Amino acid sequence: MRKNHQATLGVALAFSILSSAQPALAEINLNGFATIAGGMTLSEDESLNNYDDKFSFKNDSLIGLQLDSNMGEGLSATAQITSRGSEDWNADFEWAYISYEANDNLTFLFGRQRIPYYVYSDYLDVGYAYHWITPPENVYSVPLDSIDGIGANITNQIGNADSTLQLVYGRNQEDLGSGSSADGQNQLTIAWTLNYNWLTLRLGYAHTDLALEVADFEALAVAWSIAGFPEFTPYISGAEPDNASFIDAGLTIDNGSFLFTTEYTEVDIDGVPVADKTESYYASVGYRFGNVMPHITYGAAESTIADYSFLDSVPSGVNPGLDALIASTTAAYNAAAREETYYIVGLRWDFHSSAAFKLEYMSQDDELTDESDTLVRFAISTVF
Amino acid sequence: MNKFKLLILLVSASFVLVCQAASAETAVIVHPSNSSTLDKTAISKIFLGKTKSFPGGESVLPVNQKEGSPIRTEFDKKVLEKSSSQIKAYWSKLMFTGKGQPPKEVSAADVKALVAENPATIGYVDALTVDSSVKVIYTF
Repeated sequence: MRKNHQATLGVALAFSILSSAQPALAEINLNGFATIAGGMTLSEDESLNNYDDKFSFKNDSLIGLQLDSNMGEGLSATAQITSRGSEDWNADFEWAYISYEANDNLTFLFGRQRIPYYVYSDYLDVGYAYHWITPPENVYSVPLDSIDGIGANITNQIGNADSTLQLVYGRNQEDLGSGSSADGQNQLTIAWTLNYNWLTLRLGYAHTDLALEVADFEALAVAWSIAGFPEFTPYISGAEPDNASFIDAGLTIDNGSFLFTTEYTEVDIDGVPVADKTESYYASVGYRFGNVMPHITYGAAESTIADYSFLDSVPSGVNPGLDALIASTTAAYNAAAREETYYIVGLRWDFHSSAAFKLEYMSQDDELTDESDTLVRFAISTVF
Repeated sequence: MNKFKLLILLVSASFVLVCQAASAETAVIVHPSNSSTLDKTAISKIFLGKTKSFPGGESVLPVNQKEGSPIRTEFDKKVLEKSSSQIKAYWSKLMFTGKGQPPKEVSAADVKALVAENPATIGYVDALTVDSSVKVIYTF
C-alpha cells in the first residue's frame, strides 16, 4: 500500500515536472492507416499470393500507427509501428528515424527506413494511397525492404517539374526463418522521381554486397566439400557476400480522372542458386467515375536460373552418391525458374472521406506448368 | 394557376439562392506586410508542400480549413484541382514516408486570426469576412 502510494507520488511528481517543462516539449502527432482484406482462390487446388480456397483475412490485413514529434529547427522524430495479419499481428517498427531538414530542398533521415526500390515501395502499407489492394505481388517481390542507415531526400524544381532524389545507404540484416538469413552490406539505393503536372517518371537503382545463407544450399555446399569438391562452395554457398543489384523504371500518367501506371524491374543476384535474373513488369489503367474507379492490370514475371555448368566436371554414373548430389543440386537451381503472366480486374470505391472499399479478381498463368490460379479479394483501406 | 405561379416563384427563388451560393467568393489571404504576388499554380504548390517559401525567399506556413468544410472542398477542387480523397491520398504518401506533413487545419476564424498575426502564413477565407487585418492576393 505504502509502496503504491510512493509510486503514485513519483508519477505525480514526474507529471508536474513534465507539465512545468511543457513549453519546451514538442507536440506529438498521431496518424495511422489500416487495411482489412479478405480473399480466397476460386477452386480447391489453387493457391495464389498465399491465399487458398479457404476464405482468409490474414494475408493483406494490417494496421499501422505513426508518431511524429517536431522538435523545431528542422529536427523531428518519427516511429511507425505496423502490425500484420500475415505475421500473427505482431507489431514491428517499419520506420524509426530522426529527420533533419537542412534546408527547403534537403532532408536527412537517420535510422530505420523503407528502401525505395519500387514506385509504390515507400507507401506499400498505405493501401488508401493507391488503387489496388496491393501492388502486383509478382513485381513487388524483394523481401528485404527495410534498412538501418542514412537517407537523404533532395527536392528541386527543374523548369516547371518537381524533382525528388532519394538516396539511402545502410545495412540490412534479416532472419528469413528455417535457418536462413540475409545480410545486405553497403547497400546503396538511388531513386529519382520527376513529376510534371499529370506525368511522373521514376528511375531506381540499388546495389548491395549480399550474403544470402539459405539452409538447403549451405547443406549442399558442405556435401560437395565432403565429396571432394570444395571448389563448388563459392557457387552454391551464399555465406560470402556477392553482388546483388536492382533496377526499376516507372511511368505514371494521372490527370485526376484517368490513370495509367507501368513499371519494369530487374533483380540480379550473383553466386547463389537462386534466380540469376528476375525481370517483371505490369501496366495498369483506371478511370475515376466520381467516387468509383474501375481498373485493369496486366503483368508478367520471368526468372532465369543461375549457371550450374561447373557440375560438368563431376563424373556421372561412377558413384551413386555423387549422382544423387548432382540431381539434388540441379533441382535446387532449376527450382528458381519462373514464368508467369497475370491480369487483375478491380474496383476502388471511395465510400467515405477517409476510407475506400476495393474489390479485385486476379488470374495468373504459370507458363512453365500450364496451370492457372484465380483469386478474389476485397479490402477496406483507411487513413486516420 | 396560383399553384403554377407559386411553383415559378419557388423555382426562380431557388435559382437565385443557388447563384448566390455559387458566387460566394473565396479569398486567399496573407499578412498585410507581405508583398508577394502569387498565382493559382504558386498557391497550389504551397498548399501541396512543393514550395516552402514565398517568391521573396521568406519561409511560408500554409494554414488549411477543416477537412469536409464546403470552403475546403471548393479550394481542393478549384485551386489544387483534386478531389478531397485524392488530396488525402497525396498526403498519406508523404506523411507516412518521411517526406512531408500536411498543412495544419484550423477553423475559419482561426485562419484569419493566424494570418493577421503571422507574416509567414497564408490561408483562405470567405471573401465577405475579409477586413484590413489581412491582405487578399487571389480570389476564386
